[in-house]
Amino acid sequence: MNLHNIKLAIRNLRKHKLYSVLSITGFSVGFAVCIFIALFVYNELSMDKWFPESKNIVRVYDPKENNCNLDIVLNQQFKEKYPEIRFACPLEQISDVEIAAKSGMNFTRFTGLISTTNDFFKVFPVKIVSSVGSLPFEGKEAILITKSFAKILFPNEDPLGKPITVFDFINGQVTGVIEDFPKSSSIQAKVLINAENPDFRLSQSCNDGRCWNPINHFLVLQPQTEFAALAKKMTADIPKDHPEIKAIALQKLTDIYLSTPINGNGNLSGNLSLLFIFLSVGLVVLVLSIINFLNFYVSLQYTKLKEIGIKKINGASFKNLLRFSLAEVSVSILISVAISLVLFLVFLPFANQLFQRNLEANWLLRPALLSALILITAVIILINSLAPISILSRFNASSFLTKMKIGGNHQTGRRILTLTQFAASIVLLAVVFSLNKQISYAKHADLGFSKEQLLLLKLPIGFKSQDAFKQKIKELPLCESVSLSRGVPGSVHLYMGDGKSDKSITYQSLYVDEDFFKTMGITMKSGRTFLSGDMGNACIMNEEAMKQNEWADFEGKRFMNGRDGGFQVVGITADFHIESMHTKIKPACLMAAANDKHDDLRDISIRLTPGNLGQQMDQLKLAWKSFIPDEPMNFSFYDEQFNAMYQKDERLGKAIGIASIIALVLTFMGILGQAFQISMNRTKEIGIRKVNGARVSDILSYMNKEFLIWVAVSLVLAIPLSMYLINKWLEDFAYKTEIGWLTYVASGLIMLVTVISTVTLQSWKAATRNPVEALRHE
Amino acid sequence: MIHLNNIDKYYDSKFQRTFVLKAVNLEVKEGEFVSIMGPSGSGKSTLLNIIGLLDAPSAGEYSLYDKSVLDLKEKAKVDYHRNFMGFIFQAYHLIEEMTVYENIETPLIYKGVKSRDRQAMVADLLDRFNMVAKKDLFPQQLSGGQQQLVGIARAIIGKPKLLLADEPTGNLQSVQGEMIMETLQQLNNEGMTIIQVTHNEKFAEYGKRIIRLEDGIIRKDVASKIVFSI
Repeated sequence: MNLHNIKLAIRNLRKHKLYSVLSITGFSVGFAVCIFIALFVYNELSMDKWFPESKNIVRVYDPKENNCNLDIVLNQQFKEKYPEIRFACPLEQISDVEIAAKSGMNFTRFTGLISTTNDFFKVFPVKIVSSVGSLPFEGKEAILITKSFAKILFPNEDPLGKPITVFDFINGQVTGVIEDFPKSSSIQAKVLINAENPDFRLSQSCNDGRCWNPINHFLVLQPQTEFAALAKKMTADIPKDHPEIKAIALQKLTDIYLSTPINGNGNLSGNLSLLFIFLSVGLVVLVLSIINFLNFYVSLQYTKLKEIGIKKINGASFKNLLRFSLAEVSVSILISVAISLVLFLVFLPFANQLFQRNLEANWLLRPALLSALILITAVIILINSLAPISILSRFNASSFLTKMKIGGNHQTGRRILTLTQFAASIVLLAVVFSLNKQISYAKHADLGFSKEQLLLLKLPIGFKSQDAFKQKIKELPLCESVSLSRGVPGSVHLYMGDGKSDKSITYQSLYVDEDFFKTMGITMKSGRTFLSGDMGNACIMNEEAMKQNEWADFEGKRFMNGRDGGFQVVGITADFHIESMHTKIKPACLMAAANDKHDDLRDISIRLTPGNLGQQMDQLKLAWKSFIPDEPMNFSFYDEQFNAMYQKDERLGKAIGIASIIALVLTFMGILGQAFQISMNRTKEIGIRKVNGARVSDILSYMNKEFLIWVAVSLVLAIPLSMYLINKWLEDFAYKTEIGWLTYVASGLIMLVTVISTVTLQSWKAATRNPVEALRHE
Repeated sequence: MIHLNNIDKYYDSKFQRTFVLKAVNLEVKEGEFVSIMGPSGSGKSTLLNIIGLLDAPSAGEYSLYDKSVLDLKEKAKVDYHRNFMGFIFQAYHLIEEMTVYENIETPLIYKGVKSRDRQAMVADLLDRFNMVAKKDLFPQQLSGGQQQLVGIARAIIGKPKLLLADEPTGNLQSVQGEMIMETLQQLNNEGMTIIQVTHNEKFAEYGKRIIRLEDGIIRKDVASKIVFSI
């Protein structure tokens, strides 16, 4: 590849402008998509590898119970008993709920709370920006906050020593400010509280009269420690004093993010199957864009057969020709890669929004990604430069000069490429259609209660005037009906067993008042809703509970939850969804809350009358302010809350939608190039046909015929593959819509229309041309 | 130098065998200037292509300097094309994307001649054909005769022993055709062996020997101007 070749390659590019533009844009767009996906995958794979010691860090868990929340007192044992362990820290992370934080007049909500000890800083190298004493947690009431959170809660103030209230019941002082956690850490928090203080521990478990605080345990091991041996040693020791623990195993910190979360996991978690989906989409797009480029490049070779012949006669060896093709391909590909880098930079913010990640452009300069990028580019250049071999080896020099219009129509290799392109596009289309169908089904399915015009207020912990507040709302004109409950569809965190020794069933449990069913619009299957005499001693279950209990009738059944003396079952509701369509409806029990126990009912559901929502919200806020003056109103709409459960699925749908549009465009460009070449190669043939009486429509249908056969064949190939992929994704849903044959027909039709319009567009020119002119040119 | 013995070239179709060349015997000595004549379809170009190793005969023997060149490997053929023979064509077959200079230079690049040497050699030829001023033009910007001159320059820059010309004047007006033939004659006088295929009786006379082909068979093989039958 020398200067001479490069000069000629650039001249060739400029001569065949249409080809160059189509092949270079096609490849750049495809390659840009691949860069995004590569970066996303890199981000997921580099989680928790941000500091060198991370490979020696493990989390302790119980493999038999699949639980990583173990008694906090084990921490001492870990630190003292095992020489393999250099440091150990207990850690409980809450990252999935919004938590209120208060200091004086300042109020905010945040996500990311960790309960831990000073040992945390021996395990994780998070820098301390400032602190009151020598240790970050100074005293029992110590609370640490991150730098960025300090700016939010304490603008223009020094946070050190300031009182702070978290979660309404954790009161302490800020004793230190730490750096923000790096983005590539699955351990994330804005506030850290001191777990040395029993009041600052977030969970409690009890069994057989013994209670303990379960928490995650992270250990730094000596390098080269054998996990299995250490775990075995621990399994021999620990269950003796802790009967709730059956066995011990160690999980690498770096494995946590992408594995299926163990019970009690608080770390952020990724999604391995999502990673695979993105990776395969990226691969498909990459293959499509390579095929596209190859198609164009090989087509171009056919228009240059004469040139190749001349070169051969002038003494060009196979190697010389290959070298030239290498130069030609390299120039195009390198231009494409440059363009795709520009596209990448332009669309990075958009991609970050789509992926919900913080991908950074400068990661491309890291050795791993940079070398991968260079390697892939080199491989692509090599594949594409080798392609013309099939042509070069097919003809000898004199046929290059005489039969310059050979080939172009009947080549198995290119047929396979086109088929792959068509099939991949159809698969992507079918997947997009099915995704959208399922998401729309999930959003619009009957939930068993009416989620429209339904508002949820969440009261702060410690609030006591539930009944008065409810009365106040009831009197507002906006309120059609209102109810108090602990737990509502969309957020039930209370699970209770029925204490049956043989076949115990766990219920999603809610405490509700007598207006609950009316407000939510839940229909009763049999029995009745609560009457005033039921409060504190009756309950209503759902159909699923009845089914699992194998009851023929609920008469005389009681729910024995071990508290409050049990509840008489007075009715059965039709099943309603508490969780998203991803999960099956579970047995649920709605207990009538005793009238004197309304302090626990912190969910207020309000059915709104039709009217001006803005005014209604203003009235509600006023009512809220009169009861809870120092916290802004914490509200959400049920329909939004349920729709938000499919955000991840929607993002996936959007990402694959974009990929499939790109794939379609690439395929479209590929067909365009081929139709272009075919109509060029067949100018003479078309001329002869016209002289012999063929009409324009005959020629168009004749040109289209072959492509249509390809679409049909690729549809047959695509259906089983897309069915497999769609069903794989649908496994994630307990309730799903039927993916009918219409989806495939629609995908095939779109492909068909694309193909027909492209081919017709291209062959129109050839078909309407004066045949005499066409023949003269031969 | 060239020795063809009983060369056949035929194509088989389902029911019959069509002969393009039949039992062609031909010997060409170094320094000869041979004109091959004949009507369309008589097999002239096929014969030339076989001699130029662009096509293989269906039967017979072909040797160059007493060495058979029938079953040569691709690499050996390339060597012959690089060092032993040059081609010119009726349609010139210049590469349109290359300038005059680059077209002439091409064979040298494939031969692996160093850039500085190439420059000198191309400059020499441009000078000889009076085309120095046109070296940066593209083929489309030249007249037919000039294009063919470039074709000749490209064919001979590698100093081949044998020059094969397939109707070199076919697309040219007679004045330009004469100029090309004179150039060829001059090259022959300098010792280059030339075989040309032509339709034109007058231009055939430039050769020292005229071969007449009809239906793939050599009908006459005469020294020019001295006509005798075989």
